[in-house]
Amino acid sequence: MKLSHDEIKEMLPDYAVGSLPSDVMDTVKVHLGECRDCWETVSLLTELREVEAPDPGDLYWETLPQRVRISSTQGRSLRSSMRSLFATFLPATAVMAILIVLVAMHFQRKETPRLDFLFKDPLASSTINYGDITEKDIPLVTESLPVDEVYPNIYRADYGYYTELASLSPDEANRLAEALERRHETGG
Amino acid sequence: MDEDTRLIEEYLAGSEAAIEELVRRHQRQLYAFIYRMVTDMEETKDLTQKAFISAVKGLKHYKAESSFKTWLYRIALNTCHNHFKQNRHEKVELEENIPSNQAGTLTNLIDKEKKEEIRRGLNTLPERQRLAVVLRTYNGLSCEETAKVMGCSEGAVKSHYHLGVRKLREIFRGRGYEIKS
Repeated sequence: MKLSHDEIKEMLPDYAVGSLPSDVMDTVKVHLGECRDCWETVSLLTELREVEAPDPGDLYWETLPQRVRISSTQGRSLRSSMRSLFATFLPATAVMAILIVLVAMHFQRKETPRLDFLFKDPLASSTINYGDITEKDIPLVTESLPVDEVYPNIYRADYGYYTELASLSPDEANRLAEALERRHETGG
Repeated sequence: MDEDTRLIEEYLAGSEAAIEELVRRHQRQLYAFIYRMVTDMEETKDLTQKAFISAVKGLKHYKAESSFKTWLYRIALNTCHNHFKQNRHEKVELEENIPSNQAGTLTNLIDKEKKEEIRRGLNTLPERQRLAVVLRTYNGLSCEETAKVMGCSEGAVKSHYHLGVRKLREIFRGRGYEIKS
C-alpha cells in the first residue's frame, strides 16, 4: 500500500491508538522509520496517552451507574405520575367546570331583571322601590319661601318657559295640558 | 444494531437496568475526557455524573444520526462549558496526589515529573486545540466524530489538532525533554 506523507500524518492519532487496519499499520510503521517528523509526532502522542487521569477509586465507579439511574428515573417517574394524574382527572375536572359555569349562567340570567319594558314604555313602571319613603322623609323647604325665591326667574320678561308657553296655539296648549295630566296620574 | 443503541431502546421501553449498563460502558472514557478539560478530580467526578444524567434525560431526543459516544461527548463538552461559565473566578491550582503503588525511585520521580509537565503543557493549549488533541489522541474519535463533538468542520479539526501537536512539541523541546523513541 502506497500512502503519501500528508495522508500518513492525518492517520497518526489512529496509529497511536492502534485503530488502523493491519496493512495500513504496517505502511505507517515503515514510514516512521524514514520520517523524523512523523516519528516525533507519534512519540509525543504515545507519551500523551501514558498520562492518565487520576483514578477516583472503585467506589466511585461502582456507584456512578446507580446514582445516574436514580437521579434520572426520579424525574422520569414524577413526570409520568403527573401525566397519569392529568390523564385521569383532567376530563372529569373539565366536565365539572363546564357544568358549574352553565349552572351559574342559568341562575345569573334568572336574577337579572328584564329591562326591555323600560324602553317600550318608560312611564309604565319603575325599577326603583319608593315604598319605604314617607312624606316625612321629604322636607318641604319651598313652603316657607316666597314664590319669587323658589322660581326667581319666572316673572322675568325674557324667561324661556314663560315666553314659550305664551306662544303656544290653543291646540298645542290642550295637548300639553293632557300630557301634564297623564304625568300627574302616573306619578312621573 | 450496536450495543449502545440496543441499551437505549431497552431503556426507552422501560428497562432502568439498561441505563446502568450504558453508563458502565462509557464512564471511564467520559471521566478521562472531562478531567482533561477541567483538570480537577472532584469537579470531574461531579461533571461526569451531571453529563450522564443530562444524557439519560435527553435520550428520548436522541435520533442516532451520530454514534451515542459522539452525542455523549457533545453533552459532556456542553456540561464543561456551563461549568466554566458558572465558575469564572480565579482557579487555584492544587497539586494532586495520584495514587501509585510504585517505589519512589529516581526514575519514577523523573517519569512522574515528566507526566506532570505533559499535563501542564496540554493545559496551556487554547481550548479548541486541546479539545482536538484530547478527542483524537485519548478518546480515539475519528476526525468526523471529533468535528461533530466540537461542532465544526473536519478541516477545522485537522487544523486545531496539528497546531496543538506542534505547540506541544515546542513546549517539550523548550523544557529540555527528549521525546523517547
